[in-house]
Amino acid sequence: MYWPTLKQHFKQNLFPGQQENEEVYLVIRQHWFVFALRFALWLLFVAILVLADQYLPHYASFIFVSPYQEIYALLKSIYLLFLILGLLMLWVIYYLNVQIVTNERVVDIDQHSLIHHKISEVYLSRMQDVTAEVKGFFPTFLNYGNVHIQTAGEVERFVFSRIPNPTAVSKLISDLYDKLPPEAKAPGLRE
Amino acid sequence: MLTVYEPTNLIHTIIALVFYVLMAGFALYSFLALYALNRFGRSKLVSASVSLLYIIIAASLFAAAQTDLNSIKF
Repeated sequence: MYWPTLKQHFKQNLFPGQQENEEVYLVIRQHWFVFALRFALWLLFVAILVLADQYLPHYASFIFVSPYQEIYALLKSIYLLFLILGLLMLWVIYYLNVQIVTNERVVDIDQHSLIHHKISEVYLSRMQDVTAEVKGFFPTFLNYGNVHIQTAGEVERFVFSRIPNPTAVSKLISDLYDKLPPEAKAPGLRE
Repeated sequence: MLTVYEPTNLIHTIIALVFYVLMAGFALYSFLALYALNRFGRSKLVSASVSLLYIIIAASLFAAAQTDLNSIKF
């Protein structure tokens, strides 16, 4: 009875406005190291809690006398709640930042914060130039970086930020552009 | 069971007030995060699983915090 509705609900498009015959070639997120760095920062806040538990009995033993003990336990619980919320927010923002390459266009879905969601797209036919950029110590060793896409008639460049293997992604986008029929390409571009 | 009147004091009331204000903020941000995840997330299964896990953990921690609040006696 409700099964078709449920199936339809789960079988949704990858991004808003996806065409029926649009073939998705690549779905990428930022490199895992970007999330790992944020996670390491979160772990620092966890360490504060662990260190407080470790050293407070030695240096501030009065805290472990009633009623301060209960107040300390309450503060710890509240801190833990916000820690877990922080981890959820970090992961949600990482998870919702997606870049999609199809045979027709390139879509960049940016979740800047919980209430700031932005979807940009550029048709391959309007593409002018694709640049892969790997800059810095960790990006060089872990092979992640930015891909800049210059579009016709726009000053602002389209950027895929800190994605894995940017050279391969930029090559894929160039190859997809080359596959476009000549009449679809904007005149005077990429000669 | 007979409900016994428990006298409260001002400090406890203030602590409880601060606690519930913090919890309101926590609930609001949690709702926003889960809403964004379920609204914009690509895989509904992942979104639903993470949401469920988060709700279970958050509810447990809230219950612990509530117990800690109630155990404060002046």
